[in-house]
Amino acid sequence: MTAAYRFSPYAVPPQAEALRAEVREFVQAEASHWSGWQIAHSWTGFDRQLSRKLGERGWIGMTWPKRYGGHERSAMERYVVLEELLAAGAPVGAHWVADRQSGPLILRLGSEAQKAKYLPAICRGEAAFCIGLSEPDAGSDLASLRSKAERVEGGWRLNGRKIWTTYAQDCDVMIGLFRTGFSEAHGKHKGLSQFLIDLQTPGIEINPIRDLTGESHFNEIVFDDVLLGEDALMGVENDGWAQANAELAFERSGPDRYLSSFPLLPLALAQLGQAVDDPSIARDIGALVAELTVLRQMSLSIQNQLESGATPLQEAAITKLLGTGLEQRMPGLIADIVEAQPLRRRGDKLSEALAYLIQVEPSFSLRGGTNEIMKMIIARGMGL
Amino acid sequence: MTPMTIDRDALSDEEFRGQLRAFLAEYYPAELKQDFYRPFRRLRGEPANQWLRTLQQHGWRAPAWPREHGGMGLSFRKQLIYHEELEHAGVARIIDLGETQLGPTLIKLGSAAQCEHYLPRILNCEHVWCQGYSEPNAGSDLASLRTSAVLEGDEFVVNGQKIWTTHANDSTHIFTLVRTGKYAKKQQGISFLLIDLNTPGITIRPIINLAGEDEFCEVFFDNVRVPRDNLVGELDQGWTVAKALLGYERVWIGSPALAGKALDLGQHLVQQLGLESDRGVMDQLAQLQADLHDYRLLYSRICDAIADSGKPPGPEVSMLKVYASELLHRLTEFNVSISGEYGAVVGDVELAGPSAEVTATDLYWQLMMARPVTIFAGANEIQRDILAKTVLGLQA
Amino acid sequence: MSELNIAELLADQLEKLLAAEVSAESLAALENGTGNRALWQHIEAMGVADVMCTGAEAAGLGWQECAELFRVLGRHAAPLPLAETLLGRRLLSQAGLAIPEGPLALVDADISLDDAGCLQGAADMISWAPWATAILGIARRGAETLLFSVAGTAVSAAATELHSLERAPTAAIDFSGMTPQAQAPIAAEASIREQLAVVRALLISGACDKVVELAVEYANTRKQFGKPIGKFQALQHQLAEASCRAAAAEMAAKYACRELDQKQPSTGAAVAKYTASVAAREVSRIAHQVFGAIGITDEHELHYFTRRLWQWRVDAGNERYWSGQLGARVLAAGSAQLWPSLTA
Ligand SMILES: Cc1cc2nc3c(=O)[nH]c(=O)nc-3n(C[C@H](O)[C@H](O)[C@H](O)COP(=O)(O)OP(=O)(O)OC[C@H]3O[C@@H](n4cnc5c(N)ncnc54)[C@H](O)[C@@H]3O)c2cc1C
Ligand SMILES: Cc1cc2nc3c(=O)[nH]c(=O)nc-3n(C[C@H](O)[C@H](O)[C@H](O)COP(=O)(O)OP(=O)(O)OC[C@H]3O[C@@H](n4cnc5c(N)ncnc54)[C@H](O)[C@@H]3O)c2cc1C
Repeated sequence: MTAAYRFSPYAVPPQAEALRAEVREFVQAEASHWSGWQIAHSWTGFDRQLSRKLGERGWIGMTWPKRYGGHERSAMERYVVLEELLAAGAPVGAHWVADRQSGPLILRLGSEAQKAKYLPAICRGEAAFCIGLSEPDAGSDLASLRSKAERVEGGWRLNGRKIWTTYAQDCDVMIGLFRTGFSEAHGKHKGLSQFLIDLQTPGIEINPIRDLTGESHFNEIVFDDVLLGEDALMGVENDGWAQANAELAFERSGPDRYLSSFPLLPLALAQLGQAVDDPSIARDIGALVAELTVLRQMSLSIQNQLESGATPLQEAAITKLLGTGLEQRMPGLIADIVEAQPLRRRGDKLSEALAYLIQVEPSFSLRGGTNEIMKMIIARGMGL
Repeated sequence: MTPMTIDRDALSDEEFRGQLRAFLAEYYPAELKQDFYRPFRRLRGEPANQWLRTLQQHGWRAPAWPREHGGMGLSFRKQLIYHEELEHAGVARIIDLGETQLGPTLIKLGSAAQCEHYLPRILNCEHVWCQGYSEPNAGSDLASLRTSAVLEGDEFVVNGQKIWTTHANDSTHIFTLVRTGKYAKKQQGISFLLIDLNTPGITIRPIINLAGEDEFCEVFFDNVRVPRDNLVGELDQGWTVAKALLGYERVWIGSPALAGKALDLGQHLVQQLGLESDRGVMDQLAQLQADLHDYRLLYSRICDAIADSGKPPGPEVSMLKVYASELLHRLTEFNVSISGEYGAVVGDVELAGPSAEVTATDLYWQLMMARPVTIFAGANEIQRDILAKTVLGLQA
Repeated sequence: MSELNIAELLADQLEKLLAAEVSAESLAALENGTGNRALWQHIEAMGVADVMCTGAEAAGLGWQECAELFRVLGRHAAPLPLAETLLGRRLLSQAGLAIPEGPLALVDADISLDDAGCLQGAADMISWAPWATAILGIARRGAETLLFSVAGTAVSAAATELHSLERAPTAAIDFSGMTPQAQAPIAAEASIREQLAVVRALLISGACDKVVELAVEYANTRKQFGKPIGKFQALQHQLAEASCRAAAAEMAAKYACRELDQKQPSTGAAVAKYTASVAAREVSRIAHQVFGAIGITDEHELHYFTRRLWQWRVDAGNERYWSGQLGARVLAAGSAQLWPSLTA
């Protein structure tokens, strides 16, 4: 018997490495005016201006065909850009979802018209996407979702409710999963379809939900007889479940699944200075660095497999589980080591970043599929 | 049967404690004390029986039994003091299931004749009992046990197999759960039967554990004829008999004593290895100390509540079993992890500390002996299920 | 590419051989002190032990190529000093010293060579020393780094046999005052301790795979409450956790191999041994919980693997040691170096 997963070391090729210095330089110049509170938001920091600048440099939609505004660079070049941005805590939220999953989905399944309409805008950093999956009664058990899309003359009519939709209030487009055929009785994974929804369409009401940090970054969205054209359907009718699932390996294994708390670490090292003579601090830091190193290798290895056409779902679930575990442990551990107060004290980047991350860290093992669900997937993959 | 003449329960707690402490100081053999080498030292066989007889002679045996049955008749609170003092004096543990399990069961549910016959023999160690519940296919799911007892006239004929029977090879008798009837509900049709291990047809095969000790056994029954009088309680109602004491078993298994010993060793290792200046080690040690301290408080709170109510322990005692066993895991792990390469040595490790005094210890042994605590007496997964269902009220 | 094939072929051959030869009985025999010398001789004759040697006529396989070989040894709890001998012979070839027949043992302690040509220093625990024809270590003399070798027969007086968790022949040896049988300057890719740490990490990763496999198999067959215990989520979650740990150990160990092949000072060994030691601890804890009472018996094969996991966790530095080493390095390099070195 062989293990249920495959991980082999993969080195970023020199050609991709060549890009690193350029990105690093760009980020360093931008970083000077990011507060600690902002950098702690990582890929949930929303800054359209930054996204446009990145678009100008050709760092969005990097691997997509040139005819859609892409740059036909390698996946590894893209990886380098992503990890450089995340390591610095750049507020990349305005294009993150589009670059990570919506764009690739459109590229793979969209009609020519859809591709032409959305992809170039995404590449310019001008089209912000959100994901409309979860509903009040469909969280982990997503397939039990009930919002529905009915065929009407010339298109579709949407009714229902989505929830927890990150940045819906600031986004332009949602890719939403709706029930189109069969009722739940036919097997809940059947009869779901994906739609491209312009959030300005009449009948859509977006209600921001305040989170525990005091910010309102996610939303409840009510669909009340929202009429969409034929061209809103994405891919194949009733095939939405499989379409949505195919993206999961991408979504779960990227550097955004282990670097969310990373910016704390260089800040903490700077505060500690180079002359620390405390073996316990060294051990804590060493453990974090070891885990980061391994996660980066796992993530790269998955990236490499994805590129060669495999769908390493088991590997992705393992990496997400370990990665979010590290992201979650980091804020508390670092607060202990530096004995910093998690305060919103202007100017003290570390305290500000800690203040934010200590509050949101519990969500890391919820978003993108909870830890319990990851364990279920892994156990199944192990043959249990 | 001679009832216990001294009434130590009437003493004040302080007097009681003082007398017991003086007795232990005078009578417990120094060479049998728990120490850093064998922090959870156990006695079995003849040395165990000798010590139990010493307790008996001086009126310190069977703290939980009523005085009319030859026990000390202590209140639950005094029983706690009793155990604390034994722990404090470093008295090695003895798995004396006759005293802790069978005796109380007989007193509660046995016939007068059974009490009269068995109880004195437990007290003087003429009978040494082991517990025959588990079977190869009935572990956590004990009620699926299959060892059968068929009534033929005045005798049961027992066939089947028990396993994991602790110290069966040191015992003279075994109390068993056997299947006597078939019902829809598998908890029914089980009976509680006492069996003399000298009866023809019984074979005992010791099983060696990870630490290299013959800790438990398989016990085979091949047409073993057992007098009908050995049935405790009603026929087919053995599950209720066995469950009567389950709560108490979890209270005693949840005792913080072992964890206390492991922590003593940990503190000593920290000193011997000169790790007091290592903040991380001291943090971890402080955390473990604080957890043990909290746990002792929780333990005494739950025990006090049992003592005050006079009722048997409720399902919340599963908490004790889970916490105590996992704390012991953490402590023995800590001891190994701070000891660097000593942690991979089996047998004696000599640690020469700053004080020039050499400590002999056996880190592997304490690690291994702590392994099964999350498994026996209801595995921790099962205890958590109980907590979720009965204490928290979560639906299955 | 062809080299990779040699390595794969060998790993495959070794896998088959060990699958046929290693069993609970043969492991027990080794542990009772009647080890299988014939198996060792067979393996030595196969030439596996020489494949990491460098030099003109040598196979010169690198770490990445041999990773699977070491993992196979771990998977089978191989009762053989092959890992040590592979590494030892490589070191001898790198130093240009003659390679003796028979198994080797390695010293990862700090040893020095004084002006009179005598070794100074002691090692607390050397696996396989009682079997070894030679024991190798690295000694410092001033600024020089020398590989030294002492004949197995020469050390018996200074050796104290130890009972290790692995129950392989093991000894503590005080080298002070001994003169090496051979010595030569060596420019190794890393210290013996680092290399040994990577070897142990590979062995751990192989053994973790095996233990997880055994646990899954058991969970799928052992029934309680009318269904396989592997159906209970409490166990599924623990086994998923074990699988994550095993995967991390494998990734970390292979990463370290790549770093060693690139022959630059690196944190690979620290990353690998830290990760693998944590995995050894967690995977064995979980496996024992899954197996219940049967797993803590001498009769069941589980302990042949979990005892080795506990042993290898401690060998060549445990997780505390290596996280401390790595952290000290990171702290000394300073904040600005953190990300560049992570992505180097
Ligand atoms: C910060 C944040 C941003 C988000 N952004 C988006 C977004 O943009 N778009 C979107 O569609 N959704 C989004 N989500 C929603 C997210 O995907 C859901 O929170 C997630 O799927 C869990 O659903 P739930 O919150 O309803 O919890 P539930 O599914 O109700 O789960 C509650 C708890 O029960 C556990 N549980 C559930 N089922 C099982 C089981 N079978 N076995 C064991 N345990 C189980 C879960 O693990 C969890 O611990 C976001 C969530 C967060 C926290
Ligand atoms: C040192 C030692 C001494 C013992 N002494 C005695 C003795 O004297 N007399 C005696 O009768 N017995 C004795 N036992 C046996 C003990 O009671 C059993 O080991 C215990 O009941 C567990 O059964 P098992 O070992 O068959 O494991 P199993 O029941 O097979 O359990 C294996 C694993 O599956 C898990 N599991 C099982 N069911 C569930 C569930 N529903 N949900 C979630 N997880 C589950 C368990 O928690 C465990 O992790 C002893 C055991 C040990 C280790």
